[in-house]
Amino acid sequence: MSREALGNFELMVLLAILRVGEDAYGVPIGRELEESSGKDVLLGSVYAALERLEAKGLISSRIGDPTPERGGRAKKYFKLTAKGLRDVRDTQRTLVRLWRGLPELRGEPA
Amino acid sequence: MRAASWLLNRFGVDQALIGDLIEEHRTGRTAPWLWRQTLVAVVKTVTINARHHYWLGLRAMVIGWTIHALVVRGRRPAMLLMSSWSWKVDLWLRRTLSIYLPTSFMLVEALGAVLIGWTIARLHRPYEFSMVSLFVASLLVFDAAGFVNSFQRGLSTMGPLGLAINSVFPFLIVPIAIFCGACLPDGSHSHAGEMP
Repeated sequence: MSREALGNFELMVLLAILRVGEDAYGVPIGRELEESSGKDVLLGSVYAALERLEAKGLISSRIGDPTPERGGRAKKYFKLTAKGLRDVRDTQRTLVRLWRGLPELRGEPA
Repeated sequence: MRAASWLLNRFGVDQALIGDLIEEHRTGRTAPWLWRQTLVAVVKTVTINARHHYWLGLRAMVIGWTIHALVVRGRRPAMLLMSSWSWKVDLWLRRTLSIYLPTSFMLVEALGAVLIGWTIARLHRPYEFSMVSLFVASLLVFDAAGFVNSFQRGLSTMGPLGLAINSVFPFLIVPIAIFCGACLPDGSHSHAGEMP
Protein backbone atom coordinates (compact mmCIF):
# COMPACT_ATOMS: atom_id res chain seq x y z
CA MET A 1 0.00 0.00 0.00
CA SER A 2 1.24 3.55 -0.64
CA ARG A 3 2.65 5.49 2.28
CA GLU A 4 -0.36 7.82 2.33
CA ALA A 5 -3.37 5.67 3.29
CA LEU A 6 -6.70 6.26 1.60
CA GLY A 7 -9.36 8.04 3.61
CA ASN A 8 -12.76 6.44 4.03
CA PHE A 9 -14.52 8.88 1.69
CA GLU A 10 -11.71 8.72 -0.86
CA LEU A 11 -11.97 4.94 -0.95
CA MET A 12 -15.74 5.20 -1.40
CA VAL A 13 -15.24 7.63 -4.31
CA LEU A 14 -12.71 5.29 -5.96
CA LEU A 15 -15.11 2.35 -5.64
CA ALA A 16 -17.99 4.46 -6.99
CA ILE A 17 -15.88 5.35 -10.05
CA LEU A 18 -15.16 1.65 -10.59
CA ARG A 19 -18.85 0.75 -10.24
CA VAL A 20 -20.05 3.47 -12.64
CA GLY A 21 -17.43 2.55 -15.23
CA GLU A 22 -17.02 4.47 -18.50
CA ASP A 23 -19.64 7.11 -17.67
CA ALA A 24 -18.04 8.17 -14.37
CA TYR A 25 -18.57 11.90 -13.98
CA GLY A 26 -19.82 13.91 -10.99
CA VAL A 27 -23.57 13.13 -11.18
CA PRO A 28 -23.44 9.29 -11.46
CA ILE A 29 -20.58 9.13 -8.95
CA GLY A 30 -22.66 11.17 -6.48
CA ARG A 31 -25.76 9.02 -7.17
CA GLU A 32 -23.77 5.81 -6.64
CA LEU A 33 -22.47 7.11 -3.31
CA GLU A 34 -25.99 8.16 -2.27
CA GLU A 35 -27.49 4.78 -3.12
CA SER A 36 -24.69 2.87 -1.38
CA SER A 37 -24.57 4.94 1.79
CA GLY A 38 -28.24 5.96 1.95
CA LYS A 39 -27.15 9.50 2.75
CA ASP A 40 -27.29 12.77 0.85
CA VAL A 41 -23.96 13.43 -0.87
CA LEU A 42 -22.44 16.87 -1.31
CA LEU A 43 -20.98 17.18 -4.80
CA GLY A 44 -18.52 19.82 -3.56
CA SER A 45 -17.06 17.23 -1.20
CA VAL A 46 -16.95 14.65 -4.00
CA TYR A 47 -15.01 17.07 -6.23
CA ALA A 48 -12.64 17.95 -3.38
CA ALA A 49 -11.94 14.21 -2.94
CA LEU A 50 -11.55 13.77 -6.71
CA GLU A 51 -9.07 16.64 -6.77
CA ARG A 52 -7.01 15.03 -3.98
CA LEU A 53 -7.11 11.62 -5.68
CA GLU A 54 -5.98 13.13 -8.97
CA ALA A 55 -3.13 14.94 -7.20
CA LYS A 56 -2.07 11.59 -5.69
CA GLY A 57 -2.09 10.04 -9.17
CA LEU A 58 -4.83 7.55 -8.30
CA ILE A 59 -7.31 8.78 -10.91
CA SER A 60 -7.11 10.62 -14.21
CA SER A 61 -9.70 12.86 -15.84
CA ARG A 62 -10.76 13.92 -19.30
CA ILE A 63 -13.15 16.64 -20.39
CA GLY A 64 -16.18 15.69 -22.50
CA ASP A 65 -18.22 17.87 -24.82
CA PRO A 66 -20.35 20.75 -23.48
CA THR A 67 -24.08 19.99 -23.43
CA PRO A 68 -27.08 22.38 -23.31
CA GLU A 69 -28.79 20.54 -20.42
CA ARG A 70 -25.73 21.41 -18.32
CA GLY A 71 -25.86 25.11 -19.26
CA GLY A 72 -23.12 24.60 -21.81
CA ARG A 73 -20.74 23.00 -19.31
CA ALA A 74 -18.68 19.96 -20.23
CA LYS A 75 -18.67 16.78 -18.18
CA LYS A 76 -15.43 15.73 -16.49
CA TYR A 77 -14.96 11.97 -16.70
CA PHE A 78 -12.80 10.12 -14.19
CA LYS A 79 -11.12 6.72 -14.26
CA LEU A 80 -8.72 4.89 -12.00
CA THR A 81 -5.07 4.75 -12.94
CA ALA A 82 -3.05 1.54 -12.50
CA LYS A 83 -1.70 2.99 -9.25
CA GLY A 84 -5.27 3.76 -8.10
CA LEU A 85 -6.43 0.23 -8.83
CA ARG A 86 -3.42 -1.20 -6.99
CA ASP A 87 -4.10 1.01 -3.96
CA VAL A 88 -7.78 -0.07 -3.85
CA ARG A 89 -6.75 -3.76 -3.97
CA ASP A 90 -4.13 -3.22 -1.23
CA THR A 91 -6.66 -1.39 0.95
CA GLN A 92 -9.22 -4.17 0.44
CA ARG A 93 -6.63 -6.81 1.38
CA THR A 94 -5.64 -4.89 4.52
CA LEU A 95 -9.26 -4.32 5.57
CA VAL A 96 -10.24 -7.97 5.00
CA ARG A 97 -7.24 -9.11 7.07
CA LEU A 98 -8.23 -6.72 9.89
CA TRP A 99 -11.87 -7.77 9.62
CA ARG A 100 -11.20 -11.50 9.89
CA GLY A 101 -11.77 -13.23 13.20
CA LEU A 102 -13.28 -10.33 15.11
CA PRO A 103 -15.88 -11.79 17.50
CA GLU A 104 -17.49 -8.35 18.00
CA LEU A 105 -18.45 -8.22 14.30
CA ARG A 106 -19.92 -11.73 14.09
CA GLY A 107 -23.66 -12.18 13.64
CA GLU A 108 -24.20 -8.61 12.42
CA PRO A 109 -26.46 -8.34 9.39
CA ALA A 110 -24.55 -7.52 6.17
CA MET B 1 -30.71 28.75 -10.40
CA ARG B 2 -29.47 32.06 -11.80
CA ALA B 3 -28.34 33.38 -8.41
CA ALA B 4 -26.66 30.10 -7.47
CA SER B 5 -24.97 29.92 -10.85
CA TRP B 6 -23.76 33.52 -10.56
CA LEU B 7 -22.31 32.79 -7.12
CA LEU B 8 -20.61 29.58 -8.28
CA ASN B 9 -19.06 31.39 -11.25
CA ARG B 10 -17.91 34.30 -9.15
CA PHE B 11 -16.13 32.04 -6.69
CA GLY B 12 -14.43 30.18 -9.53
CA VAL B 13 -16.02 26.80 -8.76
CA ASP B 14 -15.01 24.03 -11.22
CA GLN B 15 -17.13 24.38 -14.38
CA ALA B 16 -17.75 20.61 -14.43
CA LEU B 17 -19.18 20.80 -10.90
CA ILE B 18 -21.41 23.73 -11.89
CA GLY B 19 -22.61 21.66 -14.86
CA ASP B 20 -23.36 18.72 -12.56
CA LEU B 21 -25.41 20.93 -10.24
CA ILE B 22 -27.38 22.37 -13.18
CA GLU B 23 -28.02 18.88 -14.54
CA GLU B 24 -29.20 17.62 -11.14
CA HIS B 25 -31.40 20.68 -10.57
CA ARG B 26 -33.03 20.20 -13.98
CA THR B 27 -33.83 16.58 -13.18
CA GLY B 28 -35.90 17.55 -10.16
CA ARG B 29 -33.61 18.43 -7.25
CA THR B 30 -35.14 21.08 -4.99
CA ALA B 31 -33.98 24.67 -4.43
CA PRO B 32 -32.83 23.97 -0.81
CA TRP B 33 -30.79 21.03 -2.17
CA LEU B 34 -29.20 23.31 -4.79
CA TRP B 35 -28.35 26.03 -2.26
CA ARG B 36 -26.84 23.56 0.18
CA GLN B 37 -24.70 22.12 -2.61
CA THR B 38 -23.79 25.63 -3.80
CA LEU B 39 -22.64 26.82 -0.37
CA VAL B 40 -20.54 23.69 0.20
CA ALA B 41 -19.01 23.99 -3.30
CA VAL B 42 -18.11 27.63 -2.59
CA VAL B 43 -16.56 26.85 0.81
CA LYS B 44 -14.59 23.91 -0.63
CA THR B 45 -13.33 26.08 -3.52
CA VAL B 46 -12.19 28.83 -1.13
CA THR B 47 -10.45 26.21 1.05
CA ILE B 48 -8.71 24.59 -1.92
CA ASN B 49 -7.61 27.97 -3.31
CA ALA B 50 -6.32 29.03 0.11
CA ARG B 51 -4.35 25.78 0.41
CA HIS B 52 -2.91 25.91 -3.11
CA HIS B 53 -2.23 29.67 -3.16
CA TYR B 54 -1.44 30.50 0.45
CA TRP B 55 1.02 33.25 -0.53
CA LEU B 56 -1.75 34.98 -2.45
CA GLY B 57 -4.00 34.56 0.59
CA LEU B 58 -1.38 36.09 2.84
CA ARG B 59 -0.86 38.96 0.41
CA ALA B 60 -4.63 39.56 0.23
CA MET B 61 -4.80 39.80 4.02
CA VAL B 62 -1.81 42.17 4.24
CA ILE B 63 -3.33 44.41 1.55
CA GLY B 64 -6.78 44.29 3.15
CA TRP B 65 -5.55 45.07 6.65
CA THR B 66 -3.28 47.88 5.36
CA ILE B 67 -6.21 49.59 3.64
CA HIS B 68 -8.33 48.97 6.73
CA ALA B 69 -5.68 50.71 8.88
CA LEU B 70 -5.61 53.65 6.44
CA VAL B 71 -9.41 53.90 6.56
CA VAL B 72 -9.30 53.93 10.38
CA ARG B 73 -6.69 56.73 10.27
CA GLY B 74 -8.68 58.75 7.75
CA ARG B 75 -12.02 58.17 9.43
CA ARG B 76 -12.01 61.21 11.71
CA PRO B 77 -11.14 63.79 9.02
CA ALA B 78 -13.70 62.23 6.68
CA MET B 79 -16.36 62.36 9.39
CA LEU B 80 -15.49 65.99 10.06
CA LEU B 81 -16.01 66.77 6.38
CA MET B 82 -19.45 65.16 6.54
CA SER B 83 -20.40 66.71 9.85
CA SER B 84 -22.22 69.67 8.23
CA TRP B 85 -25.07 67.34 7.20
CA SER B 86 -24.56 64.08 9.06
CA TRP B 87 -25.60 65.48 12.46
CA LYS B 88 -29.00 66.38 10.97
CA VAL B 89 -29.52 62.79 9.82
CA ASP B 90 -28.38 61.44 13.19
CA LEU B 91 -30.73 63.81 15.00
CA TRP B 92 -33.65 62.94 12.73
CA LEU B 93 -33.09 59.23 13.35
CA ARG B 94 -32.91 59.80 17.09
CA ARG B 95 -36.07 61.91 17.20
CA THR B 96 -38.29 59.99 14.81
CA LEU B 97 -37.13 56.40 15.28
CA SER B 98 -35.50 56.71 18.72
CA ILE B 99 -32.28 55.09 17.52
CA TYR B 100 -28.73 56.30 17.66
CA LEU B 101 -26.79 55.67 14.45
CA PRO B 102 -23.45 57.34 13.62
CA THR B 103 -24.24 57.69 9.90
CA SER B 104 -20.97 59.40 8.89
CA PHE B 105 -18.98 56.67 10.65
CA MET B 106 -21.00 53.96 8.92
CA LEU B 107 -20.66 55.63 5.53
CA VAL B 108 -16.86 55.91 5.83
CA GLU B 109 -16.61 52.28 6.99
CA ALA B 110 -18.84 51.04 4.16
CA LEU B 111 -16.91 52.99 1.51
CA GLY B 112 -13.65 51.73 2.99
CA ALA B 113 -14.99 48.18 2.81
CA VAL B 114 -15.91 48.65 -0.87
CA LEU B 115 -12.38 49.95 -1.53
CA ILE B 116 -10.83 46.94 0.26
CA GLY B 117 -12.95 44.47 -1.72
CA TRP B 118 -12.24 46.18 -5.03
CA THR B 119 -8.46 46.33 -4.40
CA ILE B 120 -8.09 42.71 -3.25
CA ALA B 121 -10.24 41.46 -6.14
CA ARG B 122 -8.34 43.53 -8.70
CA LEU B 123 -4.96 42.23 -7.52
CA HIS B 124 -5.90 38.56 -7.16
CA ARG B 125 -7.47 37.43 -10.42
CA PRO B 126 -8.64 34.75 -11.02
CA TYR B 127 -9.00 33.85 -7.33
CA GLU B 128 -10.54 37.18 -6.35
CA PHE B 129 -13.57 35.93 -4.43
CA SER B 130 -11.58 33.29 -2.57
CA MET B 131 -9.02 35.88 -1.49
CA VAL B 132 -11.70 38.40 -0.53
CA SER B 133 -13.39 35.64 1.51
CA LEU B 134 -10.16 34.98 3.39
CA PHE B 135 -9.87 38.65 4.31
CA VAL B 136 -13.55 38.81 5.34
CA ALA B 137 -13.02 35.73 7.54
CA SER B 138 -10.06 37.38 9.28
CA LEU B 139 -12.08 40.58 9.73
CA LEU B 140 -15.01 38.69 11.25
CA VAL B 141 -12.70 36.94 13.72
CA PHE B 142 -11.22 40.33 14.67
CA ASP B 143 -14.68 41.92 15.02
CA ALA B 144 -16.00 39.01 17.07
CA ALA B 145 -13.17 39.47 19.55
CA GLY B 146 -14.24 43.04 20.29
CA PHE B 147 -17.96 42.33 20.12
CA VAL B 148 -18.62 41.47 23.75
CA ASN B 149 -16.98 44.65 24.98
CA SER B 150 -18.81 46.91 22.52
CA PHE B 151 -22.08 45.08 23.26
CA GLN B 152 -21.84 45.92 26.96
CA ARG B 153 -20.98 49.56 26.24
CA GLY B 154 -23.49 49.91 23.41
CA LEU B 155 -26.53 48.70 25.32
CA SER B 156 -26.39 51.64 27.69
CA THR B 157 -25.71 54.33 25.05
CA MET B 158 -27.64 53.19 21.98
CA GLY B 159 -30.66 51.32 23.27
CA PRO B 160 -31.70 47.85 22.03
CA LEU B 161 -32.62 48.81 18.42
CA GLY B 162 -29.59 51.02 17.85
CA LEU B 163 -27.40 48.32 19.30
CA ALA B 164 -29.01 45.69 17.06
CA ILE B 165 -28.30 47.77 13.93
CA ASN B 166 -24.77 48.59 15.11
CA SER B 167 -24.17 44.92 15.83
CA VAL B 168 -25.34 43.86 12.40
CA PHE B 169 -23.10 46.48 10.76
CA PRO B 170 -19.64 44.87 11.11
CA PHE B 171 -20.92 41.32 10.67
CA LEU B 172 -23.27 41.84 7.74
CA ILE B 173 -23.10 45.28 6.12
CA VAL B 174 -19.28 45.53 6.02
CA PRO B 175 -18.79 42.01 4.53
CA ILE B 176 -21.53 42.71 1.97
CA ALA B 177 -19.84 46.04 1.10
CA ILE B 178 -16.49 44.24 0.68
CA PHE B 179 -18.03 41.70 -1.71
CA CYS B 180 -19.83 44.52 -3.56
CA GLY B 181 -16.43 46.16 -4.02
CA ALA B 182 -15.07 42.88 -5.37
CA CYS B 183 -17.90 42.81 -7.92
CA LEU B 184 -17.11 46.28 -9.25
CA PRO B 185 -15.61 46.13 -12.74
CA ASP B 186 -12.03 47.21 -13.32
CA GLY B 187 -12.26 47.30 -17.11
CA SER B 188 -9.83 44.44 -17.68
CA HIS B 189 -11.80 41.36 -16.73
CA SER B 190 -15.07 39.74 -17.63
CA HIS B 191 -16.65 36.60 -16.25
CA ALA B 192 -17.39 33.90 -18.76
CA GLY B 193 -20.49 31.84 -19.02
CA GLU B 194 -23.36 33.30 -17.01
CA MET B 195 -26.15 30.91 -17.70
CA PRO B 196 -29.79 30.13 -17.12
